[in-house]
Amino acid sequence: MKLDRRAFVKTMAFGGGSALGLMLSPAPWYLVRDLAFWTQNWSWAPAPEPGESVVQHATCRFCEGGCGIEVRRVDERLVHIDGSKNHPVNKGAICPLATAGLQLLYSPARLKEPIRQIGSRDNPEWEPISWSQAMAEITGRIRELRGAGKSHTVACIAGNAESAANELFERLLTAIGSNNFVKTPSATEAQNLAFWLMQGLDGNAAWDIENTRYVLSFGCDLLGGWSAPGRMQSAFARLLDEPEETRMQVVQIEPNLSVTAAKMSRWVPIEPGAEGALALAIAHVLIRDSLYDKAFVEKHCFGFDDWRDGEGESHRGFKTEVLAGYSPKAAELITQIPAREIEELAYEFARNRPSLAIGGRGSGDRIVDIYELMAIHSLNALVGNINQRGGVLRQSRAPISRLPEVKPDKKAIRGLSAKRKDGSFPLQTEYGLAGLTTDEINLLFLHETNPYYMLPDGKTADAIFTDVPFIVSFSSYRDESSARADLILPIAASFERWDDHVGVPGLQYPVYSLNHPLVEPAGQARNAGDVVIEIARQLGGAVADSFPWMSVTEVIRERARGLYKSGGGMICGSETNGESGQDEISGGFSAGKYSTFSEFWAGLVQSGCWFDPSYAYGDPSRFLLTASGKFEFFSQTLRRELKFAEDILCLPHYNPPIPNPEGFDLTLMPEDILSPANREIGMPAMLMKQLGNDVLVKNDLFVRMNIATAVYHGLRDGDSAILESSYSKVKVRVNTFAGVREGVVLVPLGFGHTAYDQYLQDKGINAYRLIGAERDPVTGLSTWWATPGKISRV
Amino acid sequence: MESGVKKLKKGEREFAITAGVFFVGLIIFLLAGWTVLPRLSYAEKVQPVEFRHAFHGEDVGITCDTCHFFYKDGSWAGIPKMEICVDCHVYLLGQSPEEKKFVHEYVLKNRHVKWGLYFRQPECVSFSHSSHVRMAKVACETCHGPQGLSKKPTEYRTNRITKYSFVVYGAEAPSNNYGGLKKEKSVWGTIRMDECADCHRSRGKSTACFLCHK
Amino acid sequence: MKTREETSRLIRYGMTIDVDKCTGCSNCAVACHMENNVPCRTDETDKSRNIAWMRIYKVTNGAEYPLTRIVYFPRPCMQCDHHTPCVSVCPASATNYDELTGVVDQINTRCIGCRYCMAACPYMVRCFNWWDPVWVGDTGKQLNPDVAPRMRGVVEKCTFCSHRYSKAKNKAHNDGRGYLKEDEYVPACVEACPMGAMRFGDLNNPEHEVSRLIKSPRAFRLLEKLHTEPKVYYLSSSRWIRDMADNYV
Repeated sequence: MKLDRRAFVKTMAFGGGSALGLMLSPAPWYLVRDLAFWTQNWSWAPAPEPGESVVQHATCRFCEGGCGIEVRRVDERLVHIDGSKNHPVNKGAICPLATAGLQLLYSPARLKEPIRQIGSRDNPEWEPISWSQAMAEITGRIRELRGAGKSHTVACIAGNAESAANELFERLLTAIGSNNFVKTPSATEAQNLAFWLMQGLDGNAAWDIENTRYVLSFGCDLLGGWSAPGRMQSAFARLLDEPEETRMQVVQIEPNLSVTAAKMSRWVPIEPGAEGALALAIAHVLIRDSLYDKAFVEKHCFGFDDWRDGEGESHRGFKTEVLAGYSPKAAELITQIPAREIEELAYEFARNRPSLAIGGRGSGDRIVDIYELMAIHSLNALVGNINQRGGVLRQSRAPISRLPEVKPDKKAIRGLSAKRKDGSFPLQTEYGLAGLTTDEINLLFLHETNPYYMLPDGKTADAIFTDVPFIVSFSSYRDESSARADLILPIAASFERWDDHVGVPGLQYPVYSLNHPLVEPAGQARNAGDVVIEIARQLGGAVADSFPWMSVTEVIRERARGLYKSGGGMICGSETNGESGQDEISGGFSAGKYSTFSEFWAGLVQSGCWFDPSYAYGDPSRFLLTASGKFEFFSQTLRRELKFAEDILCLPHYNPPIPNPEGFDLTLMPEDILSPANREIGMPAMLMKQLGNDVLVKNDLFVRMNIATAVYHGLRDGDSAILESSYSKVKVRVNTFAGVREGVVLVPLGFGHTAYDQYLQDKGINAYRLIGAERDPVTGLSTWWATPGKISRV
Repeated sequence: MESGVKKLKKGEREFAITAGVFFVGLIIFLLAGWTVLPRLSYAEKVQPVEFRHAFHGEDVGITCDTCHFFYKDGSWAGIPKMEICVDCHVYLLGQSPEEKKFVHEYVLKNRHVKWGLYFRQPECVSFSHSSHVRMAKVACETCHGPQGLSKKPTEYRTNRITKYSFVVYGAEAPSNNYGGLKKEKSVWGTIRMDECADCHRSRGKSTACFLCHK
Repeated sequence: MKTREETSRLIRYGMTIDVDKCTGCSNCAVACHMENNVPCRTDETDKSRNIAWMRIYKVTNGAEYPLTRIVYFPRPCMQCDHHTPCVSVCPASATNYDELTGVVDQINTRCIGCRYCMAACPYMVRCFNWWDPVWVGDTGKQLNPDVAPRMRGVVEKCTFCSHRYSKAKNKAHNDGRGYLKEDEYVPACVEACPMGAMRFGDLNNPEHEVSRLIKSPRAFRLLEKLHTEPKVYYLSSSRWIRDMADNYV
C-alpha cells in the first residue's frame, strides 16, 4: 500500500490518539514505577538464602595448634568462623587462616569424586571412577604385594596430626606388614630432640609462657606460628594489657625486623646463624659472674664441670668450654652484637626470673644444627627453671584409650621384620621423611600432606614422585602432591567429618579436640578413617580382624573413653557460668559431673574439647631421665648412640658457617607471611587478597632486602631480578626494606603453587624449593633456615 | 465558490475521519491501559499445594506460632520448612485430595514444596519481625491482612518486572489493579518502601536507611 | 548544626585501635570480608581497583637498620561525625549519616556509581565495583545472609557492620528490651582481633571502655586537621607514630 499524505496523517492521528490514551491511563506511570523498583531490587544479584542461624563449637584443624572456634551455620551452610572466647588454648584468638577457613571448605580446589590418572605424571589426564573401583584397585595392589612377600614396600606419608584417622593408617600398615608409616616433619621435632638429648625425655617439650617474666627468643616467630599460634597470640594479647613496668619482657634476637621483632619489648639484631654463639656467650657471663642457679646445677646437672668417666678418662665440661671460647668479646665478633649488650642480656636474664630461653626460627623447625638448640636450652638449666613455674615443662599426654593391639598374620610378621625405609640415622626414631629411601616403595599412601610442595628437602620430594610406581593420595584439595599421584580419593574436609587430635604443641597440659560433622561432605568425599576401615575389611582375614569397627566414629569414641575413665580433666564450657561442676577460672565442666560415658560423650561432642589444666610444677628430677638422672650439659646420649670420641661433639657449641660457594654473596632466608597459611595448605583467596604490593604484584613475588644490598647489586625497588641458590633459580622482584640486614634476602613462604585453584596457582615462587634443606649430620633432621644465594638484574 | 465549499467539505470529512481515527486510538489504548495492561504486567500464580490457613487455624485449632515462630536469635523463621509440616503430616490425616498430593508428592518423596512467596522483600532489605511484632506490637494483620483467615487457596499475582506480588482476598480483584498506590482492604502483598516509610513516620520512628537496608 | 549538648545524649558508636598491639596479622580484614560478602578476584594485586573494606597499612619510621620500626594501621571506615564528606557529596542519598547511632551507612542498591564519594573521602575507604562479583563453584555457599552482595557499578565501604547492629537489636527486641546491652553489637573486625587491639562501643557512654580510651593521651585520629571528627581512634605510646598519622598514611 502506498503511503500518501492522507494515510500518513491518519496514521499519525491514530498514533497520537493511542499515545494520549495510554498517557491518560495509569499504565505508563506504573511501568516507570516498576522499572524504578527493578533497578533497585537487583533480582539478578546473588541472594544468600536466610535460615536458622546457630553457632557450633569446633576445633580448627588447619594446623595442629588446637584453637577453639565457633562456626556459624545457617541451615545447611557454614557462613562465619570466630575464635571461641572460652576455649582453654586460644581464648578467642585465631589466625586469618582459620577465619578464612570456610573458603577452604568451599574451595574450587576441593575434590569431589575419586579420580584415576590415565596419563603420565608429567602430562596428567584424569578419569573419574567410582569408590568401589578405587577400593578394588587399592586392595588388589595390597593383596598382590602381600602375596609376593613385599608388604614392607607399602608406605604411608601422613600429615602430623595425632588423629584417629592417622592411627588407622598406621594400623593398616602394621596389619598388612609394613612399618613405613611416616609423618610429615612437624615444627616441634627439633625441639623435642634437644629435649631428649639433654633431659632424656621422650615426649613433647612445653613452655610456660604465660607465667614467665623474661623471654629470650632466638628468632622464634612468636606472633606467627611458633608453637601453637592461637595460644601464643592470646598470651601476648593479655600481656600487652598489663602495665609496661611490670609486664613480661620479651627480647627478640633476630637478624631482620620481623613482626615479632617489631612488637616485642626489644629487638636485638644479630648476624644470621650466630644465635648459638650468643646463647653460649650469655652462658659465659652467667657462669663468670656466678649469676647462675648453683643449687640447681650442683644437684641436677651433669657435665657442667669437667668430669671423669668409668675408665678414668677426663672429659671437658660445659663450664670450661663456655669460659674458654665464648667471652662476650669473642661473641661480639661472631654475632655482631656489642659485648656490653650481651652482658646486659645475661644480667637481665639472670635477674628477671622466672626467665625462659627459646629457640627455633619461624614456627620452630628452622635451626642451624641441634647444638644451637642445646646451647639455648642450656640457659634454661643455668637459671634452674626446669619444670618450674614460667619455665620449660613437659607436655602431659591426654589419657586416651589405646586401641587393641594389631594381631599380624604370617605375611605381616615377615613384612614387619624388614628395616624401615626412613631410619637412616641412629637418633631417628619416628621422624624420617627427610631420609626416606624411595626406590623400594611400591605403593604409597599420602594422607593430608603435600610433600611435593612443602618439603624443603626437594631431592626426597622429587624422588617420591619419580620412584614410587603407584601413589594414592587421600586429600580434600587438588594439591601439588595429589596432582602427581595415580589415584586421588576425595576426603571429607574439616567441618564435614568426625575427627580428633591429641595435644597442642608447646602446651604443658593435655588437650583432646574432637570435631563432628557440621555439614554434609562435598560430593562423594568420605572420611579417610572410614575408607581405611573399609580397605581393611575388604582385605579380610587377619587384617580385617584388626579392624573391628564399622566407622571411624566408633574408633574416636573408643579413644575418648579413656578420658572418661581417667575421671580427671574437664570439658570446655560455654558461657553458662555458675552451673554445677563448672570451674570458675577455666569455665570448663569437670569430667566428674558426667555419670555415664554417653553423657560425657555428648558433652564432648558439643564442646569439642577436653582438657586438664592442672600441672605439677616443682620437682625437676621427674623430668630428668637421662642415664645420669640429671640435666646433661654434656650429652651422654650423643656419646653413647653416636660414639662421639671428641668431647666437643657432645657439648653445646657454635659451628662457624661453611663459607659460601664462589659467587654466592647473599644469605637467602624464608620469611613468614600470613603464617601458618604458608605451609602445606594452600592460602585461601581471602588471604591472597590481604597481601600488600610489597609482596605480590600480578604474579610476581617480591623478595625483601636492605637498600644497601640492592644498590650493591645494581638493583632498585621494584626491579625484576634473578635469584639463585644451589637448589633453584627463580625470577622475582625486589622490595627494599630497611628492616632487613645487609646481605640478607627474605623470600616469602607460601607461594609458587602449581595446583589448587585459580586464586593461588602460578603466583610467585616456592621458597621451600629455593631455600632447600640439608640434613643435620648429627641427628638426621632436615635443617633449613637459610641458604647462600646470589641475585642479578634481569 | 462551489468548488471551494466542496473542497472545504472534503477537508471536513478528512478531518472528521482523522479525528475519528485519533479518538479510536485514544479509546482503545485508554481502555487497554486501564484493563488489559494491568493484567498483562502481572503473572497469575497458584500455590503448588492448596494450603488453607483457616482450616489449620480455626478447624484444627493450631495456633499461629506452631508454624510461624522466632528462632532463638530473634530472627523470623518465615514460611515453615518441611520438617514442621512433617511433624503432623507423616501420613494422611484426612481425605482432602490436596493433602494426599502433599503427602505423596512431597513428604514421601522427601521433596521441599516451593511455596510462592508474596510478601518476600528483595535481597537489599532486612526486615525485623522481632522489632515490629515483639517490640512495637504491630499485629500480623497490619501488614499481612486476613492471611490467617483465608478459606480459599491463595492465588496471587506477581509483577513481571519487580516480582512484587499481591493476593486478593474476598471479592474478585478489580481488573484495573496495579498493586496500586493505596492498598484496598482486600488486596495485600509485598510492602513497598514508601509504605514502610509512611508507617515509620506516622509512628515517629527513625527512617534511617541502614535500619532496613542491608 | 547541633550543639554538643544535644548530641551527647545520642549514641555515637566508635572504635579504638591500639596500634602498639596490632601485629598486622590481617585477621580483622579477613573476618570483615568474610562477614560482609566481599568478593575475591583471581588477581587482587591492583589495590586501586580491588575491594577491601578494611585495609592494613604498614608504616615505617624511615630510619636505617637497625633503628627501623614498623607499625600497622588497620583502616576501616573512619565514620566521620562532622560534615561527613561522602554523605555531603552523594547525589543519590545512597550514603547517609544516621543521627541516632552515628553510623555512616551505604545503601548499595541506591548507588548510581558516580564515585563522587570516593573522591571526597580523605581516607580512601571506599571501593568501586569495577566488575560483577563472582563466586566460583561452591564458594558462594559461605555468603552471609545478613549482608546483600553488591554488583558491578556501585561503591561500597565499611558500615561498622551495621547489620550486626540490626541483628543485636533484633535479639534485644525479641527479648523485650528496647536497648542494647554493652558489647552486644560489635563489628566482625573487633570480634576477630586476636590481640585485643580493637575496642568498640558508644563513645558517649562514659562507662564504656572506649570513651575512656579516646581521652587518653595515647589517642589520636588520622588527619584530624580536616575536622571531619572520625569516630575511629588509634592509640599509641610512640611519639613518631602519633606524629606520622596526623599528616599522611
